[in-house]
Amino acid sequence: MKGGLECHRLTFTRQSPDGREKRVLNDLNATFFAGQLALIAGETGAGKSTLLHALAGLLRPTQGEVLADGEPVSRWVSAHRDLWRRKVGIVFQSDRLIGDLSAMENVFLPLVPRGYRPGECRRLAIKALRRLQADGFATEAVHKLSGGERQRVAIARALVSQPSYLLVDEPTAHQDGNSAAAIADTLLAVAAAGATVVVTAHDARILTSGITRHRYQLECGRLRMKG
Amino acid sequence: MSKSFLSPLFFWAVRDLKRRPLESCLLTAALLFTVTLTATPLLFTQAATTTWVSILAGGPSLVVREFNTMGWAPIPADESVAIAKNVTGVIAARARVWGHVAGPSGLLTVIGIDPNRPPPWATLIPNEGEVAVSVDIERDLAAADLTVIGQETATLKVIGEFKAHTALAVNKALLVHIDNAREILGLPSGYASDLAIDVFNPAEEAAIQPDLAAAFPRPVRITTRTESAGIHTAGLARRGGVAVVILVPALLALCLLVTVTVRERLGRRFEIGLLKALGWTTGDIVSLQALRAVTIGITATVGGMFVAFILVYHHDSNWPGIFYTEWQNLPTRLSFNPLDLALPLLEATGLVVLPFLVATIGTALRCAVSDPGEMLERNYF
Repeated sequence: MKGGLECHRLTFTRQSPDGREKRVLNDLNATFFAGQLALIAGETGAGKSTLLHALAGLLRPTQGEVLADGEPVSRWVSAHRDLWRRKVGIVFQSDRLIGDLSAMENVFLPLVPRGYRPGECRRLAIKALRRLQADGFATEAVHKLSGGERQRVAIARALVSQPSYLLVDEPTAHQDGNSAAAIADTLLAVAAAGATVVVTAHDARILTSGITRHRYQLECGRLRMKG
Repeated sequence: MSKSFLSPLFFWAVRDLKRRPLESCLLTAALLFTVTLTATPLLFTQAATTTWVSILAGGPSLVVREFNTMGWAPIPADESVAIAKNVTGVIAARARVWGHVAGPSGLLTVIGIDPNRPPPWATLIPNEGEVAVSVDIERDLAAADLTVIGQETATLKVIGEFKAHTALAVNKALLVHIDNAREILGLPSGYASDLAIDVFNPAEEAAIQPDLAAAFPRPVRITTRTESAGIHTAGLARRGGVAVVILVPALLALCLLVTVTVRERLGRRFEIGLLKALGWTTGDIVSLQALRAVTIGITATVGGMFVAFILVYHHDSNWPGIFYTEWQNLPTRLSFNPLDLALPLLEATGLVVLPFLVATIGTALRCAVSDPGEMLERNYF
């Protein structure tokens, strides 16, 4: 496969609190192509976030592999995966922002180790925030922001480095209708620019919006195509 | 992309320090004081050694003392000067009258001054019955007279105080007329305490010794300038070394504190996991911690060295004398040589800043090598 992310017989096992092993992802096969937006639906606890984390190189699969542009990144040693992760933008289910930093500082965090000048970091961060209509509170500490505002900051943070792979977990959970639509448009634009975009959601607005025909359902650790 | 010459990680390290200002300030202060405590005795030792060398450079090459079965004995002034001048390599010889006497509050050094041939450093020339006193002598300032007890008791009129450049070498000194000095010290007329000799080539100091000793009809003991410097600087170096060794437990405590602090900070593993998820490598995270530590280390080193410099070289600083040489009320005027800063700087860096950096970077490395998912998971799932 060239251009995109592929899961090949991906299995992820987790130990439950009572000590039993639970297969969160079970022999999962899927291909997410570059330039497309893929939407994954599933019940709470179905393993959507685990799948995104495995795709982002944050978790090593118990079995199987993740290929990025044909390269088996899930098998790479940590040092190589650390560097590859710079091509990935990820939005976590809970925003995972650093509360005492401003929105702008949170957004330019991914740029810091890439050698940009501080002024350039700020400029790119503001640009990303503006894209999400979040530049109005760029200098506010994020612990003062509402859930919806924090979510938009988290999306801006994922977009700021112009990732090749954008993995977004529940992007519209805390948004009103207009903001949800704007976010969906932004994600489509990123995909249209050539990135591989994978979005998980159980927000009915985005599931029924028809923003993409590449729709999947995650059930029993396996991915079933719906579109 | 516009790349920065100075690593953006450095700016972020400074920003990261500002996130926890109290912790950063306390750590910097702890390190600064440790650098000060380490550098001060080292700097004092260096400065005192330089001062000694400078004082001795202005003094005689050789000092000759006469001894008999009872110990030290007065030396006949004119005869000894004539003998010394006949030795090849000697260019000047002068008889000195000096010794120790009891003063109102302890031992004093009496130095006899010949008004016809005053030494260049003597700014006050006492006549008979007069005395010039060094500033460190404890006395009743209202009283115009000073009584000293040697072989004879004498009451002298105080004509003023002097601050000698030689304060490190000679303290609690009295300048008196040479005849008064002989009376007080019990020296017969025409006799001196010792003989100061200058030689043509300082490198020949040691070589001239046997000839000089052989020229005198009575047993003499000859001390070279190098030997005098060695005796004093070895004592200072020993005290400085002991002071630094005493600090070793403090340094170990500091390293432990740093390790605990860094581990606690990195213990918030969510933040490290997040940074790695955002494209930071293990190297970036360790570099960030290293830059934080270097920022603190440089600030503490510069600050600590500055404080040590002020403590040692400040014009009226008298504590080093009290602390290291047990002299009271003595403003030690130490000679400054910029090179004297190098060794204390290197030693303070090696003893304090380097262990601090190693503790920081080592701890950061151990904490940052895990996979990000592992670090994020604890809070996430």
